[in-house]
Amino acid sequence: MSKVDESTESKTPSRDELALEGIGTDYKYGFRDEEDYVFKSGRGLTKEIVTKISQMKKEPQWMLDFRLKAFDIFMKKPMPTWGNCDLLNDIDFQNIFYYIKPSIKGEKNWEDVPDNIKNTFDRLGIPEAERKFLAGVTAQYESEVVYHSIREDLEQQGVIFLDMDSGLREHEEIVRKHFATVIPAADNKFAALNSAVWSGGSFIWVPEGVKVEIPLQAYFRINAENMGQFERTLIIAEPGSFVHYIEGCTAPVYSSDSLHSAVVELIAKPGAHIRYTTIQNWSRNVYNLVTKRAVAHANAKVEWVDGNLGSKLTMKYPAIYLMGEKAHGEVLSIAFAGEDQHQDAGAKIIHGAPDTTSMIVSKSISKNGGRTSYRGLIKVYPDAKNVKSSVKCDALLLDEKSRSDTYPTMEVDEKEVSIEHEATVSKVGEEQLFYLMSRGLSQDEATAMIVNGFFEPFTKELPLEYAVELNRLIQLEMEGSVG
Amino acid sequence: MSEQAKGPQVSTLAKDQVGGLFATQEPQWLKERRLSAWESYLQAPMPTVKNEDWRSTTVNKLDLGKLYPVKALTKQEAKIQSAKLEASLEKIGEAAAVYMEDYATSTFHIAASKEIAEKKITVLPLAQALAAETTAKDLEKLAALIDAKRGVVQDKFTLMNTALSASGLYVHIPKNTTVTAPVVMALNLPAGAADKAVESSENLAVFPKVIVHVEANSTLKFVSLTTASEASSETAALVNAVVEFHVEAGARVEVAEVTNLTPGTFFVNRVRAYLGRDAQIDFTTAGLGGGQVKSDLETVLEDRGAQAAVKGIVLGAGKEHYAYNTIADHKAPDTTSNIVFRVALKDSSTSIYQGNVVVDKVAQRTDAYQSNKNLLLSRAAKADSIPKLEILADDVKCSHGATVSPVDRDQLFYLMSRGLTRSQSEELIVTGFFQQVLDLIPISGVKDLLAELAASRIEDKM
Repeated sequence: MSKVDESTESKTPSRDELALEGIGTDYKYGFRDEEDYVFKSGRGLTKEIVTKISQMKKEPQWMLDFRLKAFDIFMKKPMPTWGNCDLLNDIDFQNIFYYIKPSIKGEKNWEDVPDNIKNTFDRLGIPEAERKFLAGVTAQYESEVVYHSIREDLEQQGVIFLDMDSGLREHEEIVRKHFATVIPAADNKFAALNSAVWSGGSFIWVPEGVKVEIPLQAYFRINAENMGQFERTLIIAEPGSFVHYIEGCTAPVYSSDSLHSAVVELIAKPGAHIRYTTIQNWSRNVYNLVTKRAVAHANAKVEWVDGNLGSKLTMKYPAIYLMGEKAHGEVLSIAFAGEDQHQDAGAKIIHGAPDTTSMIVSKSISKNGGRTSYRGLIKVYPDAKNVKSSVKCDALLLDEKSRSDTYPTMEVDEKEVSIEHEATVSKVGEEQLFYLMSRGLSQDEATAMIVNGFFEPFTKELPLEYAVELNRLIQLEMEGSVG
Repeated sequence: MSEQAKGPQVSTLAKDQVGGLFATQEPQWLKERRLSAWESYLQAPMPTVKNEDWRSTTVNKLDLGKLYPVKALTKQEAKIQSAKLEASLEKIGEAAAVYMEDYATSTFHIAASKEIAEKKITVLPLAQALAAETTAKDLEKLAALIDAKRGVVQDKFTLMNTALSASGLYVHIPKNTTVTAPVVMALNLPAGAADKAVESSENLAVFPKVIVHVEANSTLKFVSLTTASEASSETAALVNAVVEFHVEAGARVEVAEVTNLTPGTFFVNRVRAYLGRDAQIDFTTAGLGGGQVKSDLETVLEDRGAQAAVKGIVLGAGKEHYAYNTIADHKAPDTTSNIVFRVALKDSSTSIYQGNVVVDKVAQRTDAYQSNKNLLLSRAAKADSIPKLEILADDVKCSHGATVSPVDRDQLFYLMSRGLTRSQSEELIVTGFFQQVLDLIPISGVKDLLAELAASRIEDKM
């Protein structure tokens, strides 16, 4: 490990070394710090714990009421009966910590962040990333935000970029007006769970007409065994504004299962544009059951750029409700499933207004017995005329043990529409391999190159840093298959 | 009230009555199958829209308390009574054999050409096949095969059919035999009465079971027509059919089934084709009338080199609902499936197409294609499409495509600029939409019949 620490001191080439360091090990970011917490709730979930979470955060009464109501809904809702039920039913809700408060308060200055936490971030390369291009970092360590900075020009523009808890404290009116309007607590069992115990996440409000030129970024990280992470993100883009939010996740390896169940709500008001980029690399024991949904009003545009690597089971279907005329939605996603992993991801687009358009591009790779599933929905409501929608899913299977599923659903209740869906599943082309190998590449190098090319429509949408990191992660994932 | 419909309703049938529905003495193994299916049937829940398979098809309008399972038809009629069917048969042209169950007259009809006897082909009503020793033995063997390795479908309606089926057909083609003309099976339901008394003969529940056994290197053309007599609007009837094709190594079967029922009919159809080494099936289904049509078309590619082509045309009108589910089950390497489904919907008709391509771990070098196009001809029409892929092998070529759209404006504009009216142009475009599928049908008579049936439905108040 000490070698890794040194290498992060220098710049890009050292990150290469860092990547190489991880080769052959199961999980690159699998280091773990000693636990040091101010407050750790007991295992399991009760009304008392929900109340205690709210009290510790000194939340207003309405939020406590909201949490308690959500708790009731969670207890009443049955588990989903679709998807990978075997894995889902393995979740032991009573064996999870629902709230942990780190030993430090939210910080704005990097130097003040305690060393052990800083080390963790150092290993992930956050400060470097910040130096280069980041506008603000909301690095989430456990359930509470420990590091937070916003560049001054953002503050001058009136952009609010806070962790969700501070957002609630400092801008209660805005939060109350929008919170849970896109994803009500009763939406599904995991949204209800999140609503009851949520902690952390990002709160972003962009004033009318403001374009945030630099991507806002947050790193999330889970660090305690059996620690549920239930962050809650709310992004509101006022009319005519633009914001790009980036979220990246890594988590250390632990022996028993961790549950991650976030709720992300985006509201793009008329003419606004929100882009939300996620790269996810949870460790192989994490359940990642996330509800992400956006509302796009007239002429607004919402894009989900979603990369799913890691985790044991991911169930995530970013949704866009196109509620105003000429709204546009795009979901661009990749999934990579290795041994014992199931990436059940997809997209949902609801066309609720005329002249709305949408596009979904999904790419997935399964190897070493991994399973990827695309599960999607295109729904066109009556009177949503001139809707155009195109869905394209491509899957690559790298060996005979792996599995790929495609479950797209199209429900069309309006005549004047154009809906297209296409999907292909195949293995790496023999001819492509032959061509590259005839140029002197080994089979593994050639395969890795083809895989990178396969994901290229996705990676090219990412900021450079992320593209580099993603390519490296894929390289690492591919390494495992060698031999 | 006709003799046909007497007896207890489907919902109140008791176990000891299940065996009593049938005219002939049945072999013991079949009785046991019926009873065990009946027990499972009672346990199985009625499917609801929450079952993914039954998504958007509502069963609750079906009142089993008002449906009377038919008894086996015992009266044979030398001629076909229905003018409509007569016309259809004429279109199809020469037939090797014709078998018809007519519930309008409570009779059945069977006729076979010389070819059948000469080539030792068997075409028999199921009840007769079960009464004869050799055919009963073959049926027992096929049933045992399904039980042993293929798995019994535990769906409520399939179980209902197994328990209550009193009609149907058995076809057997010996090895190395080619039947040139098609074997035709027709099912005719009575016209509906305007006033439907609860116990009127209209409330029929028919459970046809068709078993087609084609031995190695033989070929068969098979046509199945399910129709209702004309002028019926509000019949309440259930047709719950189970059809099995056992296609052995190197054999080829060409099948066309036409559903041309009335709005009061609930049609549940489960077709399974088991394909051996290098066996082929070319299957066409046409949904051209029926209140609710729920059809599962499953091709099981059991051995290397098997090929399945499944085609469908659906033209919905009025309040009709069509739910087609194609399953291509690739269980062996080097197998091919090709599915093309085209749906056009008028008025407030609705359709859901679900397609599933399942590729087993061992089924390397599978080549599977699935296409579903939906044409919406009316504001109130609804089309759902769920083309699924479940792939567990890696060396495969699998793809699917699906579209939903109205009649293309440019095409419409082009035709109208040539002096056609809007509705004439639309008719032409819809005809062309289906023509691409009809062109692929190998049985020429069926091609003509479908073109005509589709045309009359297209013209009908479009």
